[in-house]
Amino acid sequence: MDTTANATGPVTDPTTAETGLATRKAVPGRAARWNVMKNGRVAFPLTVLVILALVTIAAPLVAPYSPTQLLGAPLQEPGRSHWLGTDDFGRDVLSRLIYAGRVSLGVAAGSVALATIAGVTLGLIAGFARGMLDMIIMRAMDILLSFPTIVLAIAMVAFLGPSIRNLIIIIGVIYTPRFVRIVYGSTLQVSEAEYVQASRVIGSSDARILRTAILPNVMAPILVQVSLSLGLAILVESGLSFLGLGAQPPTPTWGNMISNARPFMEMFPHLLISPSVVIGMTILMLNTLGDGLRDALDPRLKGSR
Amino acid sequence: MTTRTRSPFSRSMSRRSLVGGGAATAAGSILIPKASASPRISFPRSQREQDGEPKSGGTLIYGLSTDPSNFEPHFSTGAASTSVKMMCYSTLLTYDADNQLIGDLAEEFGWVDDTTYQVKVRQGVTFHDGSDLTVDDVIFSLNRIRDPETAATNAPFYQEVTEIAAGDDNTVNITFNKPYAAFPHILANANNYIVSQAWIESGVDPMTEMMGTGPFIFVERVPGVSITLEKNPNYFIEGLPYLDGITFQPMPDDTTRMTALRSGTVDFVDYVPYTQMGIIENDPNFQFMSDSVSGFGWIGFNHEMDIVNDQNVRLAIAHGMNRETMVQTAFSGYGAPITGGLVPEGMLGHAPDLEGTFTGDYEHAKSLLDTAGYNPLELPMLSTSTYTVISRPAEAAQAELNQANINLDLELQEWLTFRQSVADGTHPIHAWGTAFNYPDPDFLYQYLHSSGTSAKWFRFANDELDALMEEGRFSSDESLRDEIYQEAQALAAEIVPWVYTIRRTQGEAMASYVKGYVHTEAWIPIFQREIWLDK
Amino acid sequence: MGAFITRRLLTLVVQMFFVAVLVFLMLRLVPGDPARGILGESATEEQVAEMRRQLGIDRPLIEQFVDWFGGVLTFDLGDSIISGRSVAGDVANRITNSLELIVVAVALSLIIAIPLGTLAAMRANRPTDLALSSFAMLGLSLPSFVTGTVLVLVFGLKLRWIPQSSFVAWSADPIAHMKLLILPGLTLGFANAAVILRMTRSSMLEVLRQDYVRTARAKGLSEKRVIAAHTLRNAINPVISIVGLEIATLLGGMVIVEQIFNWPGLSSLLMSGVLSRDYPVVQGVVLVIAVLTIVINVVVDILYAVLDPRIRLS
Repeated sequence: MDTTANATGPVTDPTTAETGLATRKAVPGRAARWNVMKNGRVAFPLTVLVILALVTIAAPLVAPYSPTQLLGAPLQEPGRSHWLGTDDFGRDVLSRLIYAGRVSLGVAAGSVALATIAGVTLGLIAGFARGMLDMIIMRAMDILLSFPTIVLAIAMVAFLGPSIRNLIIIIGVIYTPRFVRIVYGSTLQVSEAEYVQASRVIGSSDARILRTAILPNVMAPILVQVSLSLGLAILVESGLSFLGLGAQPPTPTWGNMISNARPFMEMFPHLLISPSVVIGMTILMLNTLGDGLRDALDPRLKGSR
Repeated sequence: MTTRTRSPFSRSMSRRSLVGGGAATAAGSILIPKASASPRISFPRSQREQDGEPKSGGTLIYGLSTDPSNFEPHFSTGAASTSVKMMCYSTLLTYDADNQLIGDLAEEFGWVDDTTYQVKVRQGVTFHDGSDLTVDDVIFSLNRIRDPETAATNAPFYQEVTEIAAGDDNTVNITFNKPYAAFPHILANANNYIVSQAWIESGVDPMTEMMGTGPFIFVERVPGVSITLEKNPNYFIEGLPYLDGITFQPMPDDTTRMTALRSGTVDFVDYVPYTQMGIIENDPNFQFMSDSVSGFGWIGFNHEMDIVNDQNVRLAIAHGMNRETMVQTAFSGYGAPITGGLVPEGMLGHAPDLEGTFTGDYEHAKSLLDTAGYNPLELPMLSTSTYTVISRPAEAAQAELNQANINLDLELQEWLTFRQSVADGTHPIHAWGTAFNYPDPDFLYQYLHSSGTSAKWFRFANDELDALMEEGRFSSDESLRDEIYQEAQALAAEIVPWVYTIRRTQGEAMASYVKGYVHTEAWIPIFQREIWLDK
Repeated sequence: MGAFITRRLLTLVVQMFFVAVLVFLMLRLVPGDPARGILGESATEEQVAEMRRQLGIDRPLIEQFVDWFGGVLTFDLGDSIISGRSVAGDVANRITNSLELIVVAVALSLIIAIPLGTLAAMRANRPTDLALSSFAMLGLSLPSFVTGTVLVLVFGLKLRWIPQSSFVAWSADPIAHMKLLILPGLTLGFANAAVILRMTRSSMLEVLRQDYVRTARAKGLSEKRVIAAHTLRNAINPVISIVGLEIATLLGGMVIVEQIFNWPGLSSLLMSGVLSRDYPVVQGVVLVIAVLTIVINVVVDILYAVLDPRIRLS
């Protein structure tokens, strides 16, 4: 990942492409939704992720040491007192890894939440209201998308300062256009559907149409995108850390743990391995979850309304 | 007039060669050699005699830590650029292997009287375009530096110059308002090159081209890829250079650059990161040459802000750090603690009595905090993420000060933002680092005299220190200067305008077949002209 | 089609203008002064002010913008305030290096990913699929600076399979130049391969379920012909759109790979420009990238419509 390569993955992402191919979408019924949860490809990664989140939230209870305290024995191999060894400052790697999870997952969750809320709002408005508003919003998103992420990131960090809160804003802003596009596409599609036209004819209010017809249909691709974006956000954060724009020392994030481990890679590979494995596994779970959700929520398998 | 100025380093010459002999083989483990109080030199001078007769020929491939932004001879574009520029341009004076000032373009040099400095311009020197170096070129260059429109880096050092004029017999006389003992070092400085008046006035862009009197001729630059120099056959030192050419290849990523050296892609790299110093030192296929004297870190304050304008708070910070530990944490031992004054051993003005003043006494620090009324203390500290040689001591300081109940919230900004913030005084504390501009205690002027650039950033002024700095700068009596600077440092240790942290080890690494190079403590890479390849 | 293209081109001009304004303002709002950067650490405030005057950056913003943008309209991107070189010249040099690397990376990833993705779709939910999908996940899950550094360490330093050399221009030594493309191409390509593999797999699955495929199978065509004749062509559409957009994104976003492999591409020019506040360079590069992105978008949309007659743009 170069701040954006893996991170953006495909700009329009499979979901939008699929929207192009699919011609019918229907809302999965309640029974279908419960089946989703029971689906192995969703349940397994979801469970792992929930456990991971709980462990990182409970960091003060779970971590054997403080993540920032220097314990006087730098660059130790994994051993009995330090299960994953110590880093170049003499801090316990395992503890840092757990606390880092809070930051990395927190930044990812916060930024994706921001992007989702902003994206859904803007996408719905653009797709539903059409006309001038549509054009302004979508062109603005295009401009944002054609802007190299690195410039946005450096400029925003320089302007706002490199705090965690600002990281969330920055990554959130970077990902908003993708969500807007997906929601916009879905909204457009559904708006054209017969039953929605029919709803309009019989006089249903806009709000009702939004609530009953459009939102539920948009939910599925959004859920998928959320889980994928979470993984990408973690990678973006790690890339920003590599470039020196991430969270402040001594705060650990998975990204800055990897980037700090790089100079020691040859002599002390344990420093690079543990955060890489954790990041890899987390993103793997997130992507599997995304795939599983997409497969499970695909209405064509469930039959139509 | 003498032909050799007494250099600040003339004192412990013999001691230095003793220290130099044994330090090449580090004791014990790979990454954690002992940090000692006296400066470390890792390449013994005597080695050079064992190398044998230089062979001519070959091109040196040099992995450079930064791609020089431009070639303007009178701007400072960083140490890496100096490695390039100094091969094409020459200065009036330079340093020898014992860090003494010697003449380069100046055949003879010295003070005629208290306020007039004279250099005798060497005859028979030609520029790369064939034209002769004349006294006019020298005068033109120095005046160009003084011209405010050039915005030359060294301009402030010429402030007290009243006149630069030609004298008899190919000499140039530089007249000052007052005596200025450190001035010869300015003439040896990396941003003080002598350029051809005709060339500059012909409208060339000195930012993108170089044409000087140096040992190598500028051939071509491909931005981000390479800078190619070839041998100057008419260089004024007979027999030099031995190399046919040097090709600089910018490699800003530390790991990439060191891998390039170790895989044989390049023969020579500058700026070895501390993480690889041990590996290189212990590999017989490579040599590492460095010093642990010139690069240092400090913690500065905005004296107009509350809390830090209380001397006890600053003293608490000064006492609350164990520098020995910091050298270990920040650089795995590749550095030296600064426990007293900033002027190192061997330089004029070194204050041996001050050594050991600041040893990391957490209890004392805490009691000072109590006196000031801020125990525990929490403050935001600014530093930069761009250079690990600055951010690592900052983090190490943060960890140390925690133990003295001082909690510093570190904020790292990228380089230019950081510099802007320091100039704007946005934070009460900042952590920075740099190196001596030149090996004379006068470099302290910038930091301790109220008119100095850094002192202005600190928003600091002290009349006594001002007087001492001026006296030290404008006197010519060496023993008097020695006393003055010792006194100034003692005063600084009391009133704490800023706090020093640690010195860092900085140097170059090269393959074992690269001979002839010597690392100077003034970080002037002039010995690149003596490199020869033993293969 | 003609009207469509004209409309999109008009939007391009408007968008470009807004991008220009955005990048111009953004740079001026960011703290940090190029003058201070040029002059070094001991520069006095007076020197900084003088340098700002010489660089022309102390003039009113409108004046600076009009001056610069006026030049842009005549295809003059100005000169770098840090290096003195022409921006257009630097961009031209660097962009060819970047494009080259991207092309190699994309080619590698397509070669690897499409066959594997197809295979995964055909053996959906069985062990082969699982193995391939996991492999793909790996590519997506590791930051490129990890993959890149490990590749250099293993193949460059330890095994010495790829002869380590600093960047060599094509004109100087084509063979060496091509060898140099392998490791960075693989690093970039690995991540892309993962994306394309999953994309191919999922869109193949879509298509395989379609009626006309069932019809083809019912007609008795062999599985291979079914795939080749009917599915692959339709499944490629989303892949094209992704590849096109990847190119645009990567141009500005491959900083890390360029840094690790010392590849003199457009991203590192951009990054160093931002870090030194080299306004003309950053403005120029961002504009070029924006234009390219928009153009590629248009091209992709056209290809989309051409290749799949079911999709017509209204």
